[in-house]
Amino acid sequence: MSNSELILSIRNLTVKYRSRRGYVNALRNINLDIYRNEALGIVGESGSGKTTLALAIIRQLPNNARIVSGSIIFYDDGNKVDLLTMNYDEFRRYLWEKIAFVPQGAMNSLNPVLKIKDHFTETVKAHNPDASKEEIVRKAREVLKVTLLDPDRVLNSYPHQLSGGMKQRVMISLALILNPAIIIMDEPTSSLDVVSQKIILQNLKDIMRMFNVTIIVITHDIGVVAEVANRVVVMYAGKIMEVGDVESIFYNALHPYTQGLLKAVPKLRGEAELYSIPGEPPDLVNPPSGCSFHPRCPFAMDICTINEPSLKEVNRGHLVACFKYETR
Amino acid sequence: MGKELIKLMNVYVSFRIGGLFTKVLVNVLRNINLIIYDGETLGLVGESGCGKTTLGKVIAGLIKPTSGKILYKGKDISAMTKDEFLTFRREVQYLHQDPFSSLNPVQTVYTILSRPLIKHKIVDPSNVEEEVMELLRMVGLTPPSDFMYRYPHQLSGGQRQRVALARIMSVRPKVLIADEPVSMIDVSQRIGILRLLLDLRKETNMTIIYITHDLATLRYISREGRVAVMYLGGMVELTDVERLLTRPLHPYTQILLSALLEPDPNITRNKKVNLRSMDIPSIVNLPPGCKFHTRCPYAINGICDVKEPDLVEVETNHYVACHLVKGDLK
Repeated sequence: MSNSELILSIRNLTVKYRSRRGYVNALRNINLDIYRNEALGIVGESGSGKTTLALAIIRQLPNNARIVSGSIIFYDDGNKVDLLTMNYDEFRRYLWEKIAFVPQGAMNSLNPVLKIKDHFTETVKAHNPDASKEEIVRKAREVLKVTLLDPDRVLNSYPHQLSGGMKQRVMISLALILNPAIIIMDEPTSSLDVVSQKIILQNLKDIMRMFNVTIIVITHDIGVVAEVANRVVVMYAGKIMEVGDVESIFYNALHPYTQGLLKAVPKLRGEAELYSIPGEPPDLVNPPSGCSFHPRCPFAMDICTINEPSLKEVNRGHLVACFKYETR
Repeated sequence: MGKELIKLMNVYVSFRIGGLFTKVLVNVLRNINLIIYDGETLGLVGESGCGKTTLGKVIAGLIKPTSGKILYKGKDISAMTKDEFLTFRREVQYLHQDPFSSLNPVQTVYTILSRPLIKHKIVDPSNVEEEVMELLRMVGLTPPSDFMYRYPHQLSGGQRQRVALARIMSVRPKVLIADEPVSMIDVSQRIGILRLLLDLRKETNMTIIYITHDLATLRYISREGRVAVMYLGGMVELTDVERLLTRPLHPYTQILLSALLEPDPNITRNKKVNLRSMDIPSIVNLPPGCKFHTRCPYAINGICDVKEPDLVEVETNHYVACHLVKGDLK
């Protein structure tokens, strides 16, 4: 990945949420580089900060969130812009045109009283008021075919006439219509049944190739990451624990949390051995001292309870935040 | 296998849906015949909308079948006296999918667990507190005093599901119907709940009916158990879990297995789904003949789209409802 072209560079990003109990440390000092045309999987349990990270990139954090520090640099054809500090009106042009977002349960974000055709028209016209209807429909047919939908049937349907899987594919088509450079998908398949899920994920690879698009998939499901990602980010308690290409993460996981997570996933073959990570996810209002994973870590040392490990490159392109690997 | 505990005979369930003038009859379950043996673990597997949850609720007596009979210990549950029916309802318990809505938010764990003990006179009133502590210990919420006076919102998803299980165990059930009990729980806590179910089963020898779309999880809970695969309200295959995973015979089961994501990139990326049509037909407008023929890559015109195949024993303890499989093995 080192010779690939950067598209997004996140530095020292820290986000807190105000809550009745105090500040929730949703993201703590995130550093992450994302490269053009890669499929990046961000995996973590609920509360790990993966959705907050996505919302920070598209500047749609809820009102009680505060970006304490950090920058998100977007590399746009030779230009460098900080998405966090740029004028919001200017940023709105970037949203959808450069960076599209497919939220969790996206199929419920379609307007129930608009035909699918009108969703496409509205989206395109918002960015390009001069676009002709014929042109929009032509483009819409193209992107619908890519997501294996029948344009003749779908364009003239209302959302309620389509199944969940079809609506999800419509949302992906909508994200593609303006040819964005990045599509961020939050749990793209979590509400779908097994068969639709597999077909949509298989299809994502073709979409990436055809549209030259970078895909960021946010999920709690290790299987989704195994299916689509080239590179994987493992998050826990608002921090990045491990980053590496998909082979390194699945066949040579370094962080004890990643190792535990992989062992805890039920498998279809091999020994049906039961393993679970001991303990409970941490309270993000009062995160544990030192490494946030130390109360649950089978390898915790004294230093883990005091200091926080930073993300360090252990093998080429394989980074881990764990003191186990710092002595070498 | 143990004795016959529950027997379903030609069970049909249909619901009326739609508005006042657009009412349509939807057949959610069609001709289900199934025997559940004492002490076994039976998985009900299928995609959303296949009727697996409805079947679970029918077995628990929560939904009345439109036609057909359900026998519990040889007795038709619709012909039971009030006392017999109450005993049946107490002995057959239903564990819901969502532990965030199945517990009363304004009751403490102690209240939640003590109510059934008092109502069903399970223990002497003076021993209720002790029994609640014992139940909490049983489901791994230790020390019990840390949890007794907490409210559901102060517990994690995994802990809530444990409380829900403790409430069920308080009435000493013979049958536990678990409907996707881990799907709403964090990954790292899932195995803990599954292990607890296994331990409880070993301790009490209760029968478990496990409803899921995830065959990998089912395999953890029941390696020696049986599994029924459902599609659009009908049962398409019924056999042992290991046999289903290694030798699936119904084309739908084969597709379901190749669609399941596995936590191993080399394996999961090499599995491809081969379907004639990727979208599931609407249950309101069921196709004629075999309900799977519209998507089945092997469907034969003139047979599969005309006659619905029966569930037939094609080899010992392996039942399949497919015209092709019947032809092959006979």
